[in-house]
Amino acid sequence: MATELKHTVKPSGGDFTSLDAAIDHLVSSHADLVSADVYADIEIDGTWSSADTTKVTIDGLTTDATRYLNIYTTATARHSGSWDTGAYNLSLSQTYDGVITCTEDYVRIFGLQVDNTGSKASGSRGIYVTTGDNTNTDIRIAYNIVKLSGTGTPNNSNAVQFSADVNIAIWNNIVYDAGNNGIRLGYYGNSANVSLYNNTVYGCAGIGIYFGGGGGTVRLYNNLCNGNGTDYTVKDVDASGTNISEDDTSPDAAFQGLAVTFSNEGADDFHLGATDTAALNAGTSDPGSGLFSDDIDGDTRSAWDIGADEYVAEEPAGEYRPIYHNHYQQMRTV
Amino acid sequence: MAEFLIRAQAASNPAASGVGDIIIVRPDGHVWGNAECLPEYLVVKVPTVSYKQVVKFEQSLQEQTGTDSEGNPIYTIRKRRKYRVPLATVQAWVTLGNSVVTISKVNNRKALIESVVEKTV
Repeated sequence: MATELKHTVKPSGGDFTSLDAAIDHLVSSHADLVSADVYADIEIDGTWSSADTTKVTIDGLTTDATRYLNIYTTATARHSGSWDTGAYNLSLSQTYDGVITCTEDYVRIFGLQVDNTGSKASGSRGIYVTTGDNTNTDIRIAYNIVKLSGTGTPNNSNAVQFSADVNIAIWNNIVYDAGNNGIRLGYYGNSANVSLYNNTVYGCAGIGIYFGGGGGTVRLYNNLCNGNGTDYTVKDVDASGTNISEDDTSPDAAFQGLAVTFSNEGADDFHLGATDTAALNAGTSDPGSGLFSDDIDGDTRSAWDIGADEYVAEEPAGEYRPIYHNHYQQMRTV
Repeated sequence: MAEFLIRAQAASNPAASGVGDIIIVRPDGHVWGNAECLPEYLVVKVPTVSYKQVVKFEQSLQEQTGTDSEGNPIYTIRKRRKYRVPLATVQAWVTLGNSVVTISKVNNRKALIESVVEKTV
């Protein structure tokens, strides 16, 4: 059974002070996780007073289903469901590339904040998975906030973009302000295995969620697209349910034309508002068949809401409500 | 005002960064991590050199390998880093045995920046 190889990224007192330095070390010293029979945890911890400004390149490792790279934030370093400059964040300018570029096959990215400040006219991307046409993959992207804050006339500016025929699950992410697409898969082949669950995609000038069409298996459940140029363009989807669109493009007709009430969308806080009637308790229960049971904040899902947030009423002052934040430990056993 | 994290130790993995590669660039006063030191890395402090001037040294070496269906360029990573300090310079620093090197003389700072090698595909 694979054992843990752990490195920490912290603003002080950890092994490394940037995520890419930790990966540089892995690639140099522990590149073949399979032969070493280890899975590599990169734990991001601590209170951050400034952004990590170095582009992250995940390339040069040997991984498999049980010997994978697992990048996650602890509760201390993690956002609380809206952009937090005191939590870990990757903020830098990249054109025709991602702030995070991943060419590896078995990678998990949990709980990061990613902002590409580069020009939207020049292909700025947030998380860019380019494993090639390879079904022997297991990419998991969850609990992240991804935005593109650059300017310019949009051209290939996609917040989360991934390549054809990949086996990928994307859940509980908040994605906003992409120049073109929020979450994008171009044309895909016969072996793609794509699952999108409970993502909130807002304010993307092009298309919120875009699938170009093809074979393979594509599942869409509980996604919330509002305020995008077009909320969905999704071809050849195999299974879908309870995906909200503000326009008439949701693949689920009963969930078209629904404007969700957010906590404070003007301030980019896309938690569900207490008065919402579109997403609250309206989702499909457990769409991932046990893949996850919480939301972007770590709150346990009960009657499933649509989107990344599960609404939890404010507790009266003085009462204690524990928050479950260790999804990264939970996910390891999936 | 800038500081560099530079690879000091060679790796056998061809995908890894090479000795002299500039891995991270940060403004002056950055607090580095416990593993960001010899034998694997050197911290080189270059006071008065503008961070904005040298942050490009973090770039990877990429090559355009095609275009997508919309005509946009597709780039492939060829090397983790595009810029490196000459090997002889790094070896001299390593010989000193200190994980942190401060380039205090103005002329030396200028010479270091000018000596940085830009790799090509």
